[in-house]
Amino acid sequence: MEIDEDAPVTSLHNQPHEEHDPTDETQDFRFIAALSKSGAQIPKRGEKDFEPHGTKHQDGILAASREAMHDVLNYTRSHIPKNYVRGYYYGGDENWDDEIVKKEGRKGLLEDHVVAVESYKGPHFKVSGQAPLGVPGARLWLLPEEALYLVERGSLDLWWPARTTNIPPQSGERPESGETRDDDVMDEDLEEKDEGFPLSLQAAYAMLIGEDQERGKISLERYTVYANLKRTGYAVLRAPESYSTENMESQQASGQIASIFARLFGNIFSREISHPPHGPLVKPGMYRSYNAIYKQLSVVPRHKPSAIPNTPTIEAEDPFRVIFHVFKAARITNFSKRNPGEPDFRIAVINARSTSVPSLTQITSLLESTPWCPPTDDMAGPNKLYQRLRHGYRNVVLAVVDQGVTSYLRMGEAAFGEERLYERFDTGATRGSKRGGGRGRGGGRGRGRGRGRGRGS
Amino acid sequence: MAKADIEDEHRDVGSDTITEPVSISLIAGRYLLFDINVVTYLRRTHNICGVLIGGIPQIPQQNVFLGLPLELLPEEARLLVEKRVAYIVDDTAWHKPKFSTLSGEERRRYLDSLREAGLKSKRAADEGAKKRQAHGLAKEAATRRAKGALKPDSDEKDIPDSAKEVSDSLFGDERPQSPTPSTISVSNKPHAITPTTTYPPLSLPDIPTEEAKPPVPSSYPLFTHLHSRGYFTTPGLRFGCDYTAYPGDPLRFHSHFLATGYGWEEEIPMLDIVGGGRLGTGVKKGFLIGGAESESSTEGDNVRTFCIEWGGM
Repeated sequence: MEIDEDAPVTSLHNQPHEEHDPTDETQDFRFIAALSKSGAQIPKRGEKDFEPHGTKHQDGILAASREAMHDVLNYTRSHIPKNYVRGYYYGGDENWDDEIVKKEGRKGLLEDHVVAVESYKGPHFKVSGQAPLGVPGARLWLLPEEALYLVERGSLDLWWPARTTNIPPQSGERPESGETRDDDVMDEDLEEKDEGFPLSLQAAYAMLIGEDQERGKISLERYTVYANLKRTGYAVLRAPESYSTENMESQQASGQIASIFARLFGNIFSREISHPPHGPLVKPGMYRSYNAIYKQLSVVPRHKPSAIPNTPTIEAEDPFRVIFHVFKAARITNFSKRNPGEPDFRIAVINARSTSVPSLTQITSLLESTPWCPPTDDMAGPNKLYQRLRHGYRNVVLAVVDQGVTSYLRMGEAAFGEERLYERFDTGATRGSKRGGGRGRGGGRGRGRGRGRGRGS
Repeated sequence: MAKADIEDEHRDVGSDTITEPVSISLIAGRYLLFDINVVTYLRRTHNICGVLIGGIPQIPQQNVFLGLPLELLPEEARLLVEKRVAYIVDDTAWHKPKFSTLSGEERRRYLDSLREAGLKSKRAADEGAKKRQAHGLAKEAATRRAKGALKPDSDEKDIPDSAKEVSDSLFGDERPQSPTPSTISVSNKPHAITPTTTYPPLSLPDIPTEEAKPPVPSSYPLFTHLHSRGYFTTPGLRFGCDYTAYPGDPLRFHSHFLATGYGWEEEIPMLDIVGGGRLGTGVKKGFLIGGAESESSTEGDNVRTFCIEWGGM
């Protein structure tokens, strides 16, 4: 923020890389062992060379790095019986006629819930999956991203169901196919029972990754963001398809009072800044406060955030639409999937290669689809000016995915017009004096600039 | 290049068995590799890195080290296809009919191979458990010797600790096992296995005779130019460019250039040059622009490149 434009560029070389992000760099897999130990630190970036100089030593290290990478990635996911969770993929059209699917129904489920998990244990199902409403003991259904993430981390064995699968166990007259819910399912002989077969990771990708409009699929960039956040420890839920009107109405109540004030003050300002077509900007006369002068000078209209958008809201459209609601890890202990509460972050996912910088309309509709979130009280005061500007009045996170590399950008509805620096000039310090030190940097700088401009006009 | 000769002296990890052309999975318009041997092979032989986008099941709660699948840039996929090193398989179209009709001998072989892998995993797990048990017992004995009979109840505390230390961290909810003989199951039931690739174990899809080449952005000529000069490239969004170019494998070397492709007649905004130049110099890399000369008489590579450095005078 405070970069001096005229500073010699050489100083950039000397800047300590405090904000080094380890995910930026190609990682040396020789250091992965440091991560496997419990409580280990993220490894420091390995020593790298400027260029190949053809020595055996250098080639040896490179070969060792490649070998380490190969060894780590050459891992086969195997499921320990104790933690065994099996899911069935129902995305194939013929599978929808499946008897148990008919019996349990899919009330309260999304079209995209395509993987049914037979017995679910473990912490993952606290934050993912949905059971059909009104059917006690029904199976849990997973969204494509949830299923694929679990397969990828080795916590779910995804199966392609056979047509005879999933006859509930109570239908005892067909014992050869009725062991679906049996916990000892591993003890069954796979060859003799036609209960489908396991899918590979590759098959899981092929089944679950697709275009966003396709039923039971998710685009790779959305999945990349989902998995990235899950690995970091967040709970991630899909945002509702469209930001519902109920949410808007609940805001209405709190927004009402604010809007009345806004209208009142807005009127006052609009009256004051009506200027005659000719003549000086500031009417000649006697002024006893800076306020009166600066108010006349503020001719440029400023954006004024309000709890209720004054223009009719345009529905946010893909890709500039909130896709995921993200909850901090600390909230997972008391997490309720049906009623998760307000998310900590709202995330829109953008493909860097197919999408360009959003238009103002796109940003506006995206921001207006998020709730009113003005700076909190502890951000009040002149010293926290930048903090307030950065926080904004609404905010959303854009996850920009370029070929698997994700960058997160936070967008806020900043209101520079709400930070009237001149209002401070009349309090305390008199003209010209530098006694405003207590107000902090923002105030001091603002005044200097403002005075200069005022004289010039 | 002499580099290849030297590399042959080292152990060729897993890529001996690779025969060209290799298959690239096309899923939802993205080019993915699932076979680690292919990944290693392309990296070593063809300077193709791609980006790892999956998680690592051994250490699932982190984003620093990523695993399979590997996503290739469309440029990389196109280059490999043009060189006849690889061919594209539409995995989405291939998988569903395959699994809907999988039966008989093929299905049995598929399940057999998984069962075999499961048995191997099971044996390895048992072996590990045995070792853990031996380790735990040894530690217990040592503790007992050290403490004598003074604190007999401290043993119970030590055992789970030692077990925890070596317990497999794969599954988050796995509690430390107590090293009692009962944990080593006597049954020979194989573990369930999720293979990484579908083929193998299933047989490879046919190589299409006539194929559609992956569509690529306009910076493709610059990409092939850099690749033909032995540079490794990775996506450049983080540095605001098309590609970051490395003089060798990014595992070992720092990148030299932030490369951005332009059309030959395209006007380059001054701000792009200033911004790219400043940024490149700031991160000790050269800002490289390049494009293909459209009316060049010479056949083949007609890309010219320029490097911009911010002088800061």
